[in-house]
Amino acid sequence: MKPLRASMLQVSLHRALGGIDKLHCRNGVLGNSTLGSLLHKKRILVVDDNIVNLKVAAGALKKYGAEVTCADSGKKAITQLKPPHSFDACFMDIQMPEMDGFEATKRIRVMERDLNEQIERGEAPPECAGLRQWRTPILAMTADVIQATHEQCLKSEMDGYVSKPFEGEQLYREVARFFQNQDQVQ
Amino acid sequence: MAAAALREQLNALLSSMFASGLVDEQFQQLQMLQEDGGTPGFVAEVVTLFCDDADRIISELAALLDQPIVDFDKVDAYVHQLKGSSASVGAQKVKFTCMQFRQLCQDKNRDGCIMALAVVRNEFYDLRNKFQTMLQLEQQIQAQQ
Repeated sequence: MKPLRASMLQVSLHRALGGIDKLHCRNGVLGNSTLGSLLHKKRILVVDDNIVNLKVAAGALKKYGAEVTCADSGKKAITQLKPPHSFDACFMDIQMPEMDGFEATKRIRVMERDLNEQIERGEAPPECAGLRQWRTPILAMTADVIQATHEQCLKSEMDGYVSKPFEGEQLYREVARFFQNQDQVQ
Repeated sequence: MAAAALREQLNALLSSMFASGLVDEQFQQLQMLQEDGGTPGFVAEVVTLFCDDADRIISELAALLDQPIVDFDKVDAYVHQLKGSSASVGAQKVKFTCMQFRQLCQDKNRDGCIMALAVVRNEFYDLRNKFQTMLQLEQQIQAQQ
């Protein structure tokens, strides 16, 4: 059986790879820039109340070399993402009982702002030494695009959204956006 | 049975599952995750989680729709969950029925919901049978290696 979808994914990854490789050559960075190299060793928190979705999303990210931690509620995500922490990024389901992804993200941003004020006042904990600002990229995961318009994500201070289950090219595009920005800042 | 014959049987089963639209390309993605990711047992683990979860949700839905006054918000929340898990494993027929089911919830159409539940249950039982056969064949093949 010839997986049509897989070959399409490969084509789109190659295309994305080609585009990014040029950029990397310009910056003199070696190595290819597939999802694998973007996500390799990145510590990612995946939040979803649905255990099947959680397992599948974690499996996909692990395949690209990410170190994945799972949380099954917005409340647990808040506990895990209270800064300082060691996560590089978070994938957050939107529709969850008790506390949805938008609300959880808003609360995480409040905690980050508190810490950033401490950093500014020079009262930051030692983990934040040399850091000017704390902000963890949070991507929404959603099955319906209607529910997660770009504006809604921005309003809750999310960094974008990806479809659930993941779609290769879109995942690459969204992840590349913040991990590359992050690299530029450093 | 020889490993080759078992593998042939497994391939025929998988082909028919794809051809009939029972599963879609997302299920293929899961198989690829297992092969490329070097995570043996990943598909079995996800499929088992899905079947246990779906079975529980279908029972909950039957109980909710059996009430004299149906709480459609609760019904909708369960159908949303089943739709999410079926999308994640690539259980295409179950997913499509869940999408119609949600519309019936929003219309507060009790009879429609009861019918949708019957359809989703049949589709799920059919899928679960095939998943179980698939896993058994895989185990038998592995045992011979």
